[in-house]
Amino acid sequence: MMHGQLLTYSLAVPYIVGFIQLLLNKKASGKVHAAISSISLLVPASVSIIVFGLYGAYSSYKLTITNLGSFMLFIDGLNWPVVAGIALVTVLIAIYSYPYMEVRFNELGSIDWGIYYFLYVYFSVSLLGIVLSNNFILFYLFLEVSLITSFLLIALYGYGNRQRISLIYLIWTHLGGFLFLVGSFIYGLTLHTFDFYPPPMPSGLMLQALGPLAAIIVTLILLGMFIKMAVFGVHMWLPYAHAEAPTPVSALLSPVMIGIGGYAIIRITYMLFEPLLLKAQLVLLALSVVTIIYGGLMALKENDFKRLLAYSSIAQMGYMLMGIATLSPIGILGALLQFFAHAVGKSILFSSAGVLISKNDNLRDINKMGGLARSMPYTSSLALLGFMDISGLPPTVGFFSKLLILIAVGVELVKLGLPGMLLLAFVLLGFGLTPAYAFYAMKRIFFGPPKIKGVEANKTMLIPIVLIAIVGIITFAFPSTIVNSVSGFLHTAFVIGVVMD
Amino acid sequence: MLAAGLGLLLKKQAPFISIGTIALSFILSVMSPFIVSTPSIISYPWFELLGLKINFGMLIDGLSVVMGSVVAFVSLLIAIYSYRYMYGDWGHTRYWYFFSFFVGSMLLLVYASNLIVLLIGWEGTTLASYALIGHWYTDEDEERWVGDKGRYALGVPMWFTPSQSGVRAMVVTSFGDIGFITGIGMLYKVSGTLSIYVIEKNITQIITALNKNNLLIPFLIAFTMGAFAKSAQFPFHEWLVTAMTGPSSISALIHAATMVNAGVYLLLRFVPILLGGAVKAGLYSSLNIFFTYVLIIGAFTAFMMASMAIASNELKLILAYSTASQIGYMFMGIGAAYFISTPSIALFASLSHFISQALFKAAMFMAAGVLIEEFSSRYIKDMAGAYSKMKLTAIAFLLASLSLSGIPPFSGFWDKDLILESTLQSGNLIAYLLGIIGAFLTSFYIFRAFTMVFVNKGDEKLKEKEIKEAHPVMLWPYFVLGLLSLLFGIFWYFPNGGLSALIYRFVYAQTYTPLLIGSIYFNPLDVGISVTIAFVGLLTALYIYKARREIILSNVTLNKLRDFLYDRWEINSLYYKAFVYSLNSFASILRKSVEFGAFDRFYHNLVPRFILAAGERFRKFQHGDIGKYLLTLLTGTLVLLIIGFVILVMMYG
Repeated sequence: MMHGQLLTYSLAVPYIVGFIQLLLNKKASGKVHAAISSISLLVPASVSIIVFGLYGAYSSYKLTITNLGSFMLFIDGLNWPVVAGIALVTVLIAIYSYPYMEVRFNELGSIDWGIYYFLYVYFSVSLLGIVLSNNFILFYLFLEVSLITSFLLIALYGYGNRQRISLIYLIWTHLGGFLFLVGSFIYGLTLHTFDFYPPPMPSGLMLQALGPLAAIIVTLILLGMFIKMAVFGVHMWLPYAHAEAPTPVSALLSPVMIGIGGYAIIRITYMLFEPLLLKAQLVLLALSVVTIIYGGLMALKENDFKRLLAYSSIAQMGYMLMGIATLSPIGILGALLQFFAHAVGKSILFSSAGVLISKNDNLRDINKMGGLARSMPYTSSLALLGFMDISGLPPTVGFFSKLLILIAVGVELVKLGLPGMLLLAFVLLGFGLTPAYAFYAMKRIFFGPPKIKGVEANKTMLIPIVLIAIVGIITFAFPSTIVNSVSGFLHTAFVIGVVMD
Repeated sequence: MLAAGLGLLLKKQAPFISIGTIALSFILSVMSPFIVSTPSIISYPWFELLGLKINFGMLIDGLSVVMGSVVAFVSLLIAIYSYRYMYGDWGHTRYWYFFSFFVGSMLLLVYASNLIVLLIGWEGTTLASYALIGHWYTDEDEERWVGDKGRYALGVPMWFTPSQSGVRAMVVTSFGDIGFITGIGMLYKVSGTLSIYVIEKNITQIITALNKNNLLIPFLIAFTMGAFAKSAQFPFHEWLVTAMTGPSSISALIHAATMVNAGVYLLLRFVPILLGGAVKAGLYSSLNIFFTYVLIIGAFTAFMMASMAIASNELKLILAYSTASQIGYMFMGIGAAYFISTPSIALFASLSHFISQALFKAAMFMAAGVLIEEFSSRYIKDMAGAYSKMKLTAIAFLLASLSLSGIPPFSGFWDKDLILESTLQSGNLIAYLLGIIGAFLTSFYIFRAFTMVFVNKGDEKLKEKEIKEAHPVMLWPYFVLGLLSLLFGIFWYFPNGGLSALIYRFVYAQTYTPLLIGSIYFNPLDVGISVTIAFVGLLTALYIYKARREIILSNVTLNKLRDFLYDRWEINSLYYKAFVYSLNSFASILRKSVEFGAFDRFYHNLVPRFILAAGERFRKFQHGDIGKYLLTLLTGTLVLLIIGFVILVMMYG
């Protein structure tokens, strides 16, 4: 079978091309670099989409090593929305990077297209690798590459006190990675395999084999991924990192990078250790509620546009966690869809913020903005679409993710009975805050009496954002593209599976 | 029909496409009972939700056809009016885009065959209303504001700009929607479906299951929360009042054809299902609390909003209060349905009141739009003497006002009286009294406005102003609606039960579970009370505001009362204090003490300092830079980890 290693090779393409770009560095113009990066990233993106479209579920050949388990790349119903989201955003933001970084390079005084795109491509493709990997070691390797490259992107091209902030970012995400790693060591050394997919043994047997260690593994992985998702309490690194990173990088960091934490929780802890999560369900629910409300309140008070979006990401991760915390297939479905919707919405929003920064003299302070819709009709429409997406309004795909998560909450309420009404009260507050901060920000930035005259973005900047927005609308009109596969997967895994038990 | 509704969404240019597609949806709506048999469902497979197939479908039955036709018809007239009204506006394209989106969403929700499709239409109207209320988003023209600049109530500003009102509408209505969706989730849990038809079939089991968990009432309250918010019932009424910052044509659209009526539709759709199921499940009595709640909230809103309307000075504001108040009557009818022997009569009364309201309120708003433009003022005191210049507008407005006041034979009389009679039969005297007082206030406030605008003579300056009758394209839509209010009323009951009997049977027989049809009957005594009340209100207003306005202006107690009503019972201020300001200061405190205080200090100062201090004890050499130090530390840890890992693997291997 020719296609056995197709996914692996396709993933190797951007790694090789990216390295060549590094060697070329100044020998090629920014435009060429942007085109090469975008096309080379398109290779694994389109291969993933094509093999998934052809085979439904797909996995490459395994490389098996005793005691380490098997190594392969795979795509199935569960990681499909995550893969689709990453593919979409990374390819298009590569183009957007060009006009943005041109301005940034001029400010910094050194033009290093090769270095930027090398880091960008390695970062992007590693994100894809994380999601496609089946094994803790592979997962961590990709994770490490993505962390180092994004750290360097912030350190080299970020804003403000970028050395300090990139360090904060590096340390905290590594702490998360470290906890995850320790958990996976315990797992791997006890079970003699680092595979989490396909599960080395049925859930019940695994819990028996691991005994009390299972709880430790789950705790460590959860803690690690909480730091990565920036849930309340360990979120403090995020507003700095995401606000001060160069904006195209923020557009990847914010929805994609942190969302992968949620994916890992689903793929590893929920798929393998659901009974254990059930014991911690109330904690998870509480944590998600607090994250949503806290993130929302901070976003409401924030005057820096990019920082506002960063806080909004925290709240959106709360949405994702809430979907997971219901521990029902429909909630998981909602959470995965939330990844996709957030990837669409937040990348649009960060890109709009990027227009204000690069075209309007580093304009970030919302107090200085107002009435920009008159002078920037395209950017304001796109930002509105982005805010609609995170508030879950049709016609954006965010409508479905919010819908499914709230339906899952309703399902949970029936299980909880009357005490669940307390949960409902908090959910009302938390989910109610999203349109409040989103449309209040919209009003402060784009509506009201014009305070300054904005400069509209050029085509190279607008086209990638418009394309992302179009995909967001198409996936709303045809939710089957995203929902059906996850639905089918979860349905076979849980609903039918339970009946057969 | 749905295709037309959706086709609207694609529209980008020129009002003609918009008007054309709305006309098409109107024709299709009216024709649909002749094309397909009612009830029927037309659907296409859409996506799968955990083994549940979700269809994109439309439910065509008596209720949706009547609702859909009225919506499309009134929207069509408003669209024609808008062609002239919005001519040359700088946001022209955006206006038409969202106008079509609005009507399309409303039709989608009316014809939806399952809750997801319904919700798309539902939230689509939220979005469109947000965009259109804030249409003139630069906030520069004070003529578009609501409230008097510089006026405070309890220290809270009482004036609202378009961009601000848009956010208010968005936040309040989406707040209700969250309850609505969780309600859908609960329904999904106990029924395993989202299709309205299947819910209708399994309603008995659904009610039994919910009741077993003590969740029946919480479920109903959550599920209808979206309806209360969207229909601007207390305590969610505030957003509608300030929604007057939008173009007048949009006010007409929101109030008469779309948006606020969505909540009424939702209840009219589900209450019959609910009642039928409760009877079969033997749980009829456990619904008592819920319907009392609907009845009382409706009656209270009807009364409260009418009371605010008598003190208001802005023409559109009076009409806005009036809408919330009239929707309150519709809710009353729905609430009363539970208590009377033939619920379908009270439900029909509400439906009919929706139709009457759509006719007269659209006419009034469109007329108001013309008045405001011509006089360049939104205050009624500035419009005195309008009759001398705009006779046809005055006639249209009069017809609509008479219908609103409930003067026979206008349609507003029949259905409002039927609602009040049902309420009386329900035995809830408080609701009935609130309704009757509300009815008095209704004819009072609208004839107060009518007298001040059309009856009173203008001052000398009026003659010099260039005020002329509306352009025919604008005049005819509302003139026709005014006439229809009268005609619909004349044929409402006569001959042989008239139009009402026709619509009543069509709606409640052409459905999957037909309701028991009763005969509509009016009690002469109750009719007498209603009519007297309406006339007393009308004449008092005419008397006071024609000749004796100073009675009210000079009285101190009345002035205090007026201030209280003018500031909307201080409810807006209290909300701001209870929610907006307090949440805001809570967030500020959090931001200061927790985010920048605790978290930042702990994680970004104390922890690194601690590590640094700990590190210095071990190693004597000094790194100048904290950053470099931590980096070394981290790399060291990683290297150690990898080595440890290799050893461990070897040991186990």
